[in-house]
Amino acid sequence: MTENRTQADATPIVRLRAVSKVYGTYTAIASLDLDILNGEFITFLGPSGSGKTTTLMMLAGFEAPTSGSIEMDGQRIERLPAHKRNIGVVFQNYALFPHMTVRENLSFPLKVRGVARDEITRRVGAALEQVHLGAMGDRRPIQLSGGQQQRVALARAIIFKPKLIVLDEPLGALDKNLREHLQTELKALHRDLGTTMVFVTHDQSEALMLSDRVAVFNKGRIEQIGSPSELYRAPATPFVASFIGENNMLDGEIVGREAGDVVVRFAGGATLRAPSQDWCQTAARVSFNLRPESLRLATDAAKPGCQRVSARVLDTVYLGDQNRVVLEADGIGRLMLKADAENGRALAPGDVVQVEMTVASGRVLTRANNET
Amino acid sequence: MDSQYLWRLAIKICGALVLFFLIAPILAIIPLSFNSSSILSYPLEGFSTEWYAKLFVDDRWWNAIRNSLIVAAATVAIATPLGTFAAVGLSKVTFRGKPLVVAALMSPMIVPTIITAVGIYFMFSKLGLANSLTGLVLAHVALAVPFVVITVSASVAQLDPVLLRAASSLGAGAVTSFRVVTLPLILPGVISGAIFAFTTSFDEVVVAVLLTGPEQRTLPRELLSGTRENLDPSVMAIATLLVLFSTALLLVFNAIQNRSRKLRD
Repeated sequence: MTENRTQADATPIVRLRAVSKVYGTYTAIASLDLDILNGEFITFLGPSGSGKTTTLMMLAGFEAPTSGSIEMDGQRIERLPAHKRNIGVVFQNYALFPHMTVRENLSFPLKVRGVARDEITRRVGAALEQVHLGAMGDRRPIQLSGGQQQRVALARAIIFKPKLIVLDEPLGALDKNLREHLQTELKALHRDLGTTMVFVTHDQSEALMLSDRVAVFNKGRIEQIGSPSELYRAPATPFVASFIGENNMLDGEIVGREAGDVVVRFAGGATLRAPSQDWCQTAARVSFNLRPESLRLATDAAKPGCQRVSARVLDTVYLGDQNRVVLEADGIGRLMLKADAENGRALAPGDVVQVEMTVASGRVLTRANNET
Repeated sequence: MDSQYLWRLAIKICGALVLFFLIAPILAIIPLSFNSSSILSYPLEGFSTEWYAKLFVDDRWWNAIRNSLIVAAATVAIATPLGTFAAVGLSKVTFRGKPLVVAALMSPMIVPTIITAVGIYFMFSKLGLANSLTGLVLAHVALAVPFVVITVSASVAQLDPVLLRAASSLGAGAVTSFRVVTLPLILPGVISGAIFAFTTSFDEVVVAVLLTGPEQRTLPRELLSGTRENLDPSVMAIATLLVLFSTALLLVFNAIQNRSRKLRD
């Protein structure tokens, strides 16, 4: 396993127990249990309205849970006002004080805490260096670019050495290049500081890149929580499978077992095999998932542990480093395949190809609970 | 020339006429204050600063100026914080009767002043506040608060509530947050409100007529009796000084507006 895990150890710094948040008749958070581990970088990932931001706001103290408890370092904090929680917050729109210079913005949390003046000067200087804004101290936020403003916001959230830093889609407003640059910086910063960070985003690639663990939110609940590779390789629900990475999702039914595998038959009549799981029962309706990159265009003899289907090319999309090939697989349905550019270019709509995949790359997911 | 040019010319002329209409009566008094004749009419007879000189030795005017400044300053000192707190407080909450509370706060501005003034007169007479500067200040505060509420509310509406969350996340309690974040950012509105409060009090005449005896006469009150009883050009001299003073206030007000706009963009 190639995990991003940094200094995280197993002791939780924050525990959420049966936390719910109800607005009138709308349930934003149903009943949430979550442990945030000391030193980890955990991301709340989900579409808008999934409850990820609400959870973050309850952590930071801007919203009170309707019921349930939040503990930090063993202390109940769910009724503690935000200014007494000692949690650093980075906001989506930076929330820098426009009437203060960068230096004054950074001094603010230290002044409030009664830190001595020369100590403030020293720490502000160090923080400015840390986020590569050494020369910008006397500017006002308005005179900085978006990326620079977000760096100041980050520095302001870490300068008072909080035990927990929460970040609410902090890179959402930035363009792609800058975003990737700041992601790298943020990751390095987390490695240097070792502070627990909770990051909210709707961007799955950002979540995979940054996090030790990702909690996937949907409809006010956590669908799955795990390392990026766990989520990618072994999604627990169709929602997670479709939200993280690209996936071919095919409806089928378990019709039998062979060794440790299940055989799934599709509406078109064809069958494919995938590793069995605890819950798998014959006649269960399942979603059969295949990652596009696990499909190959077969050119030689079948390998052991592989299965093949014959398919007709519907369309190819050129993406530079790769080609997307959209196929209609006989008796199965529509499949999307990533071919390297050389391989895919030769294909034209109407061509018939053999598609190969390992049995291990297939994943069956129950449709009983999570499909509406 | 094309028709577009003529249009523009017509618009400019109309604009100039409107401005002339607005400003001519004010400008007309200035030459009269320097007229050597004691009769208030054109054409002028000759240049004289006699009326200004007379003004400076007349206790009646000095007393009125002093009263006006005391009352206006006290009105500003009371109405500005009251209106500011009201505006900030109202921005933070929503409750059932909020429109009623807002209407009550605004009523002195909407109800004809004479109605408010008569009401205040009857009430203050019972309370022993008639014929006192304290009473006049309290009445002016009631008239001035709506202006402060309006200007401060406009500033508060521009204030990003996330900034207050940020302040709180950084460890600032409600009082610190108000002092260090809210107040500096709404200051242009507060200062505008203070200027409005000052002018509301400084040129208020209706309440002053009802509520002041000879001892508490304010400048507008004295000007009113000056024009009615003994119309001499010293009234014009004091009016000219007032015009200069108002112009200065207006310039300050504009400067503040420009400054706050610069901060925001």
